Amino acid sequence: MDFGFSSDELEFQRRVREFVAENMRPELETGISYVAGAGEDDRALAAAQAAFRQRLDRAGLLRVAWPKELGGEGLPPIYEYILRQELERNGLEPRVGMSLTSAVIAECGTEAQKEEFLEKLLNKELQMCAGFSEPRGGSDLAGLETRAVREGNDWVLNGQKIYTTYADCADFMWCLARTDKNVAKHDGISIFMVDMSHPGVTVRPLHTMGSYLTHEVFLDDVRVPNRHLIGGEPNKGWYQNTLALDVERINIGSYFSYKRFFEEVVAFARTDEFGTKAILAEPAMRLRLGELAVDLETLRQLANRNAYLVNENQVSSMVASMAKIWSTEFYYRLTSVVMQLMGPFGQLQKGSKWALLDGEAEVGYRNTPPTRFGGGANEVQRDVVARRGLGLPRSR
Amino acid sequence: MVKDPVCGNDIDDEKIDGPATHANSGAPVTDPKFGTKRYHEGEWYYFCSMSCRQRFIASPARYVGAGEEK
Repeated sequence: MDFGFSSDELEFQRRVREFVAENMRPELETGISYVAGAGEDDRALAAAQAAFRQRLDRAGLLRVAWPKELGGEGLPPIYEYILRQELERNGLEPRVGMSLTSAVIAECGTEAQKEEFLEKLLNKELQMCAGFSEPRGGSDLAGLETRAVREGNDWVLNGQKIYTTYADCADFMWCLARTDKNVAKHDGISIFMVDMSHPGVTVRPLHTMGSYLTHEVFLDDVRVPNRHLIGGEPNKGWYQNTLALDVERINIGSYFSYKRFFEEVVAFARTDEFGTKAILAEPAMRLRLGELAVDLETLRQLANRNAYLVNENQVSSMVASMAKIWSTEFYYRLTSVVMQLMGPFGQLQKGSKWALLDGEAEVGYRNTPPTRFGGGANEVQRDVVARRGLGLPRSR
Repeated sequence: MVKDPVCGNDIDDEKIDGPATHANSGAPVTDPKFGTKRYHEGEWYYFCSMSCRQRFIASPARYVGAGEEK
């Protein structure tokens, strides 16, 4: 039995492959470290990616999952999954099309919000940052303390977000805030599009390990117009955001980025340029590479299973959590083995004369911890597996 | 100047609020070396360091009212 795509999906995959073969340029290629956000400040790369997205749009491939009434194809999410897989397979930026933010605005936003934001989000003319985590804990999202109080036509926001990636370059923050303190915590949350240029927004950089820059964002009497309350009605934020996370789930995995890198590593190990043949003769190293091959195939199966369930509207938190855990921890195991294989050369950074595989192992190795925390820490994901998969009681 | 409610040190709230530089959006970006702050029960509290702020977050009742608030 083959868990493959349908004939229509395969036809779409063929169209994307044809397009990529014609439009691939070396300057568009990104390495494995891109999975964890490295290289996103590269302006030449960003410009090349923007031009590529325009060509993708002209070819009718960018708006596959975009709603029909908004000029899209309105196809099921599996098509966007195929598109992203094909881009990733070729080392191209896969995060195109529907984003967490645009999916919620398309589904729950007011007509004015769709008009104001959707096209700009699709074209990445607007950069977003996500205001989820707060200092008392990102894992208990519903316990957030940032408050929004209605004053005339505005909402006044006070509070603080932490680990806000892209806050330094974002135009808007997708900001969850408490609009009602007197109801159950899930029922008193709203989402605001907070203009980062508004008075009262302050950004404080947090330099973390790896090449990862994240931020704290302080909201100090920030006035947000009511038209930027998502959906136009308060206290719907938790449910709107759940929808966003479901959309985000289909993209968990990064299988092809890892596969490309793993294949490069195996090819490198075969060259014997740095005495790797002798290393490969060692049973321990062969076992490690064999283990990685098994892990990689497991990731493929989990990512496909997850995408299938999302597509069938049978969203499974358990499978999505498993895919997230496996993907990010595989990244760690992969880069660890590569560091071992390369010996002292593994620690050389990109740009160093003797850096092997363009220094990707070094930057990837340092970048793995943020991927394990981001998008819901792996410990929280394991708790989801325990509760929803094994039926164990909720933790305190 | 305000007092860090945890360690009692004097700290410059104006420097904590920045800006040292500006983000692309124009939002002020502060210099982390001056300290940080925390919104708690309708008030902002200023701290010399992340570790002081973490102590405050762990047991705010112990420190509320100890420093100057803004």
